[in-house]
Amino acid sequence: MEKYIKYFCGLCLICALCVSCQDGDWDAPDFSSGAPYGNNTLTDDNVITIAQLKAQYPKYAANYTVNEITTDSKLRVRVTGNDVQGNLYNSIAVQEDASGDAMIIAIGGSDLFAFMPVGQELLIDLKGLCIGGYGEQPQIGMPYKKDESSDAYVSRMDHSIWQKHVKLIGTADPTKVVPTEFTSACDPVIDCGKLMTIKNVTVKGADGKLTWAPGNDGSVNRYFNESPYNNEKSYMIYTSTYSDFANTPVPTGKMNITGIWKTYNGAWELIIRDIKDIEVLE
Amino acid sequence: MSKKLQLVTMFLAMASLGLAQTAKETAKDSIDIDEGLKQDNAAFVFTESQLGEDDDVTQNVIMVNSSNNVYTSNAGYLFSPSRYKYRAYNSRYNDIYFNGVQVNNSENGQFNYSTIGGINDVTRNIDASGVFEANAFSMSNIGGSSNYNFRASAIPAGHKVTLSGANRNYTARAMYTYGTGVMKSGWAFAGTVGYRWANMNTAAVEGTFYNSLSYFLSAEKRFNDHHSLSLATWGNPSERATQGASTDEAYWLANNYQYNPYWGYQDGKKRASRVVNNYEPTAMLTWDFKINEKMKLTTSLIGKYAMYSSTKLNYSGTNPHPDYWKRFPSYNYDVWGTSLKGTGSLTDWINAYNLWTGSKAYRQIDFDQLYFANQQLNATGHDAIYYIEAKHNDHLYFGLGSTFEYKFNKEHKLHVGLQLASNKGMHYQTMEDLLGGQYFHNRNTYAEGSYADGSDEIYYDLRNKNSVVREGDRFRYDYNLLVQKATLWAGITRDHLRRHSFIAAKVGGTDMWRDGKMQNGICKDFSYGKSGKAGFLDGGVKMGTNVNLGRGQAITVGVGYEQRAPQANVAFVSPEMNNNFVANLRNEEAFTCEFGYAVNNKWLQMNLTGYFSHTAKGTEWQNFYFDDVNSFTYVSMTGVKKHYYGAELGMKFKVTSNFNINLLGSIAEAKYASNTDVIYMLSNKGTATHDKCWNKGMRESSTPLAVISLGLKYSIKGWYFNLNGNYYDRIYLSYSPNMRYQATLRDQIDNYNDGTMGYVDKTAPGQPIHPSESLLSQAKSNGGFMLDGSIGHTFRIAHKPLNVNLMVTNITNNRKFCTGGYEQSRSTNYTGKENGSDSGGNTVNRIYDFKRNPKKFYAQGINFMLNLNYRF
Repeated sequence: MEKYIKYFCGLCLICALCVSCQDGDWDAPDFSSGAPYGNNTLTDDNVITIAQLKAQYPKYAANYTVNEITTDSKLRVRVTGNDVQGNLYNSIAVQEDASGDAMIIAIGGSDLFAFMPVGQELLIDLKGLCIGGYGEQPQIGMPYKKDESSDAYVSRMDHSIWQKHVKLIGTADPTKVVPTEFTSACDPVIDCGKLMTIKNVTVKGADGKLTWAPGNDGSVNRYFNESPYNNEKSYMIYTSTYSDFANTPVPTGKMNITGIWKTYNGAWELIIRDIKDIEVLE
Repeated sequence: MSKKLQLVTMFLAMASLGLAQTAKETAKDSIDIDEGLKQDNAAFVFTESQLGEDDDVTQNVIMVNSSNNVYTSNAGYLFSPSRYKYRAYNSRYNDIYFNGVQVNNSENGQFNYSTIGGINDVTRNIDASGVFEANAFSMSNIGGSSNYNFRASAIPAGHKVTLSGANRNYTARAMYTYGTGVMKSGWAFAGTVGYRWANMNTAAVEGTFYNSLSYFLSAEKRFNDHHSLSLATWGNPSERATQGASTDEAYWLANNYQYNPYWGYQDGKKRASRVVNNYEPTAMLTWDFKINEKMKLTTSLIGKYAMYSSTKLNYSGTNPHPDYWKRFPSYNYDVWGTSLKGTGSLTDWINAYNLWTGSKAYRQIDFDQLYFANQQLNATGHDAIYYIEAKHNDHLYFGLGSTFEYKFNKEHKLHVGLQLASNKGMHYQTMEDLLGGQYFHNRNTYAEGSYADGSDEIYYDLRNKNSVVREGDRFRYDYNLLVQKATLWAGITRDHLRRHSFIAAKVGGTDMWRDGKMQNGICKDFSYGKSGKAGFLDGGVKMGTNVNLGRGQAITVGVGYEQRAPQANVAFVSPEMNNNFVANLRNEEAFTCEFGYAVNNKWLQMNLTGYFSHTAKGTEWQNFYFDDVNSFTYVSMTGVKKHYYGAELGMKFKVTSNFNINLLGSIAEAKYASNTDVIYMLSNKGTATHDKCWNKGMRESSTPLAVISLGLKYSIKGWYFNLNGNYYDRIYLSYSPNMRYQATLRDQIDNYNDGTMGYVDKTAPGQPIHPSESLLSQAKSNGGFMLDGSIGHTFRIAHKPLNVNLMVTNITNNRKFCTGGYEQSRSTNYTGKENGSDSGGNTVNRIYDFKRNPKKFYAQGINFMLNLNYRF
């Protein structure tokens, strides 16, 4: 009898000790052979500049025009803007290190900032993608129709398609992204899409209570007080009501504001990437 | 898990001291293979990896039983592959007792059978009571009651070893049970230990595993003819990965009705995202006092500390689950031809189709990408956005049950009982794995954007505003729910001439309150600390009679009415956020009645039963992501009225002494009897919104409301053969309340504006809506047929019985049988503002049709379980 009791207790203890956790600690994956994002098979050949791309497709900024890129060509660019606070939506802004030329890449998907932070260098395989204008802002993407009867224009591409056309090069280096100064001399045709800082400006109506984008109408435009930027038809600050800082009050004093400057049919739209883009001067 | 092992080892070591006594070995050979089949099948069902309608629901099953009713005693296990619920009741209408003390969860009223899984040899000793059957431990609930006998003396003396193999949730099972029986010294000891196992490569559903140890130890001392004391302790430390429901489109693309979106690859290895860990070490002391031949007192004190956690892959950005609706081909192209947005892009449909069908990895979670994203984010100073979190529901429970029995005379018997319960439920969320990230802040990402950067409202805990959440830390919510209950009940039975009658009544009181451990910024004045205390006085009465008509015929009649205190888990509007009770929180009323006709003669045992139940003033609660308003939402429905009615038939033909034919059937209705008031709170706002939910006619879900079964049982020379053909029908999926809010329906009618969704009566005051039937219709399964069989034989090895049985379920391999699921809580078309919509936002129209894409579970194809048990 005692023998059985001992056996029983022994068995219990053995079972208890043998039961090991199946969902244990997991080691981080090894990414030494390449990022688990994008297409690591892309090679650094046939690289062209943004200027050369525009030259190949003269209607690169025309509205409701889809230019499919058929040549075997690639861009090597660096990310300057993304959706980190939900204001630049379904797109990233990129620039070339050497020329400073900019382009918007339209991608269906959020959290793009998690994979392509500011400073990340990209190799983009252009063949099979399209270039065209949305409000005369050139962007790379895929054709889209609002409805069956409307004309197609270049809009966001499926995230899975994008991942076939991009390769991440190295790790992000935000120090290589330096905004230039925005002035009234900037040309919407040449400078659109660039990361630029407008200096010493105030916003109309800012009283400490006015917020960047209240309500739920999709977006709100704010305007500058200072001439010549106080021309509301030519200069505006475009903010999504879904951005993280939509209900943050607009500072009342002078500011330096950095952001992606896009064009919308000849007018300037400043897209603030992050609340940290606002430097309050006084 | 290691903490659990230490606790288990400690329990076992303590118990071994108690067992270190000599005892006379006795042998008893009383195997009932047929009963064993029921138990094993039940054990399979009640440890299903498929959870209920949402993650907060544990296995919502009722294992009701009866010794007198053919249908009731067989339906539970026979229909278990279809996740059958007795009369479609929520399992809180079924009371479970251990040695006379009630053990249903004090917060939700349900009993989780998986906590006694793996100790099958102990749980065979059940005193089951139907809805209108008198018993010695309670006033039976409207879904029946069962009392498990956990005394050591109830375990057959001797050794028993069980080995099992299966291609179900688990692959292998081993159990060993030893009982001494009552020895001359008056002591009885019993113990069982079991282990069930499957890993990611062997479990029937890919991406799941099962890892469960079970133990039970009991000692009983009979001091004399009057007194005995019994001490029992048991536990079931388990971890198991769960399966997720998905849409028919996903099953089609994966070419697999058991497709599971909850797992993925990490560095080439399979990893589950949803893992349940559960351990409820329990101890129970029972005192049986036989006062004299007429009077008996049984008192049990139970204490348990339940630890339950369930992990989930969460995110503060894009949904990373592979079956996220935007990844499906039908997100891109309208396959139904009904979209208000146009047909979409066939090219994109083909691209998505090729991705889904071309790569298994694409159909699963890409953990590598999630790690990469978090590492990139942390390198640039941002919080991780993908992480594995764990929802914890821990309980410290003490209960006392005392029952006094008095036999007046041969005809009359009185039972009086007292049940006391105190439960502290601890609910919190922890960070399990930051998936390569280093840190995370306890901020309400739903509220960001709705409030100014840095304002109080965006913090989940103002008392620790800037704390960094690391792995193992609590975040988002942390609160306790406290419940105290007392119930006094009494029942009298009378056996007079040809009539057996009973009447039982109960009265009770329940107190409940919340104790918040975080000061939620949205509800900063009413989230931290204790809420007010809500008290409820409830009770009821039930009576029934069984009249013997002679010649083996009898009729039974029963009627009962009771008021039930609301459950604590539905008593608060948003317990994760604040202390507010639901408005109009009242006792639920439950009326039930039953009429039955029974025949019992040499060749036929038959029961035909009709029943009707009506519940009113009920309260229900849900939480889910409400896409239309881009926020998590907490929904309370009050004034819930439901009707349950139907007919049940059970027939057992004894064709010969060793050949039986069983026929079982049920047709039931279980639905909302009226529309319901609804209050919902959004996690990005502190305000409650009142609306009306058009849920009248919605059926209870994920259970067949119509079943029919034909069974053949044959035995010869120690061999047993069973074959059952079961047909299940009228299985509804869990309806989505927010798709039936009045405001949502009005949007739908307005958006379509062609009469197909109904119309608005603009001439009447308040412009009431008249939704179309198609707009309100509840998603449904097509039902299905399953053929189940078993074969068993008792061999003799060294003069001891070796029982072998093989159960094969779904022999015809019907994989297209949908057993349940739920509607999605998103609108295809609604009036709202879509972020970044080209038009600047207005009516949001989507190509993807959520109403046509409910999430479903399908029955497993042909599967088996082989059992061998040897007694010595």
